[in-house]
Amino acid sequence: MFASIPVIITTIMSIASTAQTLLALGRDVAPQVADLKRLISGDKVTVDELKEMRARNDALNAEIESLSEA
Amino acid sequence: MRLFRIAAIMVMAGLVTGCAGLGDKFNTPVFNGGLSLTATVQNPITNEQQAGVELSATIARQALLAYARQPRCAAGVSRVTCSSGPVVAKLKKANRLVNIALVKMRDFLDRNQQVSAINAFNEAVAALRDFRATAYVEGIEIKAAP
Repeated sequence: MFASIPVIITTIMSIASTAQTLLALGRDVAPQVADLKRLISGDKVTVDELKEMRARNDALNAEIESLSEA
Repeated sequence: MRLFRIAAIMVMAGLVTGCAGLGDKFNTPVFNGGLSLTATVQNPITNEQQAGVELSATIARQALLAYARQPRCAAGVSRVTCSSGPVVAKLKKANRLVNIALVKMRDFLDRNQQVSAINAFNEAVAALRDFRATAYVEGIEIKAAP
């Protein structure tokens, strides 16, 4: 009974961590999802908006490149 | 002689009307069924299509970052609730392919190279699909267009 407590705690922590990651991801991608919805509904995209999207993508790419693989 | 005149008139008429038709053809870009290699054409990839690819790449990359920012898994463990070095390495590799395709697509579109732009656009979409497939194999699902 008591032996299973650490396992339960670890599981809860793991679920909480995943939930936190998912929430953070949801927050991060919300603007892009909104933009995609706008695109689907037929909104036009300006050259400046496109430039902004490219810049954002490049920044993310740089961040990914700096990730450790260890 | 009379026959020659009739033939000459027919040839002239043919040339005049034919040239009028051909004139249009010469001014129509080859991509639109014409003969001109220099006439400008509207880029076949719209800003909205480009935006779709850019946004999809952004969402996929943010998912990768969210996965990679999790605490590292214990050695030999591979789960979605923790990040593993080899999985990050695999995703980074797939991301590099996406980046190559994206840069190529942007370059062709910026230089308004129609045929190459279509190919580059399709390559970027395919690279994004590969990226998503790689992530999916590792248990990370990225739901985004295209």
